[in-house]
Amino acid sequence: MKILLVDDHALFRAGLRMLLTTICHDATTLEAATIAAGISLAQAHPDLELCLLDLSLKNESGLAAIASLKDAAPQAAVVVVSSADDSATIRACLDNGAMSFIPKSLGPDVLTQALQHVLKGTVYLPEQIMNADDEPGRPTLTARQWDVLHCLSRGLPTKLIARELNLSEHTVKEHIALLFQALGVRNRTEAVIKGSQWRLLNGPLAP
Amino acid sequence: MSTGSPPGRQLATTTLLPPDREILIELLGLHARVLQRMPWVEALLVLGMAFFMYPFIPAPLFVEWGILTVGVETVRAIYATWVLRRASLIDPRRTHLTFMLLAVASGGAVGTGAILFMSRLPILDQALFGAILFAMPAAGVAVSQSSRYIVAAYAFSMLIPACAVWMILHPSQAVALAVLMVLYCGVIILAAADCDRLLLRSAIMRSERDRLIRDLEQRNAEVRTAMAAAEQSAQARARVLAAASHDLRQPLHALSVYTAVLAANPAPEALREVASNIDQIVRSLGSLLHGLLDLSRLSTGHYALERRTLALDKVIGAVCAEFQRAAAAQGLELIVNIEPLQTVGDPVAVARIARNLLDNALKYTERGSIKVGVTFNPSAGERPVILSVADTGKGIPAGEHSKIFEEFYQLDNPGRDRSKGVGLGLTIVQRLCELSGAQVSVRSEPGRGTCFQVSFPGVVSEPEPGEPNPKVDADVSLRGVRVCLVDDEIDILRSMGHLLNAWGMESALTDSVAGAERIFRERGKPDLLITDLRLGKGEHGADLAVRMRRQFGSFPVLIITGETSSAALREANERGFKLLQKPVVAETLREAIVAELTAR
Repeated sequence: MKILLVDDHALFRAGLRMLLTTICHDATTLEAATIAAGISLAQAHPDLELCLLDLSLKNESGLAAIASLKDAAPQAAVVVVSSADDSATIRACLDNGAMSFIPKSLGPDVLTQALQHVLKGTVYLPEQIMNADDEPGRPTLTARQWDVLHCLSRGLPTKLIARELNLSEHTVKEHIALLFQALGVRNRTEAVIKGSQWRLLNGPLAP
Repeated sequence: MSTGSPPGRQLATTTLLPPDREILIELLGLHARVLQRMPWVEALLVLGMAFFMYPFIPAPLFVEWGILTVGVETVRAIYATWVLRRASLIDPRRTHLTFMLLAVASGGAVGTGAILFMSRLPILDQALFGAILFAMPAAGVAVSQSSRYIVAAYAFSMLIPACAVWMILHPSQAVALAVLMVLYCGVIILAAADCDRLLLRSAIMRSERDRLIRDLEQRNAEVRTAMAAAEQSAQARARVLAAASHDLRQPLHALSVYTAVLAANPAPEALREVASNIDQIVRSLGSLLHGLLDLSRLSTGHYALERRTLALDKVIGAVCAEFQRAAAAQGLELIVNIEPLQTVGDPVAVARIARNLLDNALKYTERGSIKVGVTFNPSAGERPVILSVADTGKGIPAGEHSKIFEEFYQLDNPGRDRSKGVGLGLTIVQRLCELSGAQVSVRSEPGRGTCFQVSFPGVVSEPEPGEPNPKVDADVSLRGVRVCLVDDEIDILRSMGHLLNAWGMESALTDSVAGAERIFRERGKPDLLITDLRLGKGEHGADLAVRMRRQFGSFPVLIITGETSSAALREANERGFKLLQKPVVAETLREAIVAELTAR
């Protein structure tokens, strides 16, 4: 499994690398200190599966980098690893296409768990956003809606979801609309948050 | 002028204090303003008198008198206008005197009317004219405003001719009239004095109020300045705190990652890297904390700098030696060019300044060399000792020169890569320089390199080659040596006095030149004079010593000073006195005393 680490703090990057290779033996890591370097690495490695991105890189905004990285490697899930941990930042990251958000301030145990989540391809979001609203009741989703939700959680655009699920874009849009209805949400970010609140996204990634 | 209450007399006779002067000017101004209207009043009066006098008085004579009186009033009015225009520039006492003379002229002019007309008028009109003449000084009380002297001048100059004429015409009433006139004038003058006091009091109140307002405004301005300063320092603190919190959190997050790595049972060969990385993080955290603590101590003024003679070349040389290896490891040449120099200062602070500058140069220089120089530049004025650290690094753009001394500012390191340090080094250099009276400056050319210069005050000497000071016999007894100690700082005087007494010396202490002169007169020439260079009130210790030597013959002198300027050194040297820098260490003082005493 190929993982790209983008962080300007060399020691933190090294730590992440060591943690990832320790908890996931087949992990190969690529490291970049700047977004530009990260993007060129992402382009050079089409088999990149995961990208851990720091949000505050030098003068660059990591937020904009999420989209650039997804352009460079549409197949990779982008996970933001940041020293920020406020809800607004987390939502903004998800809006920009991040799959998960891991605050740097997590304790060692939780940090390991969070990384294990994202290594498995499931969503990790910090507690405060998970507990934002606690509606009871778990919606029942169809198999297709599950697939779509997983794809959304990886930040995939409609076109790529259609390609992945072998469906037409039109059909995917319909599925998304039905999924939103079932979850009672209005957009992709809310859908991902709700899905992770109800632990809907803990299953293995759809093919 | 039979009356005059004490405050009034004071006003006119004693030297005017500034507020009194102000008040007198104020009162003269009021008087002048009334005088401006007087020609019209006088003209109306003349016109009124013309009505009842025209049957008896030849017209030309009356017209001439009218012109005289109105003319005098006009002169008064013109002078009053001039006074008003000059406002506070006038000499109040002279103006007052002029007003008095003009009042005499004015009263006299009207009084002439009595001489000219009284005998020609029928008795009834005489009485009316007399009544008018007596009424006018009463109006004068209001006109004069300020001064019973002006009123008196006016009244007497008018009433004396009037009364004289009346007495001649009616000799039977002479005595009664004289008594009445004196009484009347007395009453008028008393009334004027009362008005005067009232006016004076209100003027004092007003000037007091103005003073209070001025004070208040000044106090307000001070408060505003203090508030601005406080706000600025609060902002600086907030800036430091914000930067520090980021810089403190980052290594903590990294530490947390390594804890997770360790908890996840890493491969044994990874442990070495984990350990080394944790070590780096802890070091950077440590240096950040030390930097912050130093900065906070420097900012709150709790950092007491030592002041003692130090061999600058040795201190800087030692720092350079520390960096030799690091420079070589980076492939940089460290060129050290240090003149042997002694200066006064805190060795720890000086070393810290040099260390931070060298550290900085090493961080920002990739190839080339770093030159460290210590030179003495006698033409550099107050701060002739110059430490320079020049590198061939990437340089600093001109716009950033002032920013580099700000806390946490780092050139080209917006991502705050901690391998480049924490960004407090130059801030600390600057604070230390401020505290030790040194000045730091930077010259830089982007792409060519940067040169930091620190100019230190007060070179003591360029030590002579070999052993500069012959060893002084410390065992020489000072018992019974009579010493006169002069210093205007009482604390220093006392503590040095204790020290001298502890050595068995008989010390006479004083904090002034006058006191020293008295000691010399009463006890004769001492065995030794120790005096501060600056004794307050512009008095000068070296001058005192020279003068006393001239009067009492030669005796040993030691000059002590808190000043480090080369000017102070020169002043002492020119007179051939040995100079000791404050604070004087007991040992140094004893050595110097022994040296002075045995030299003779």
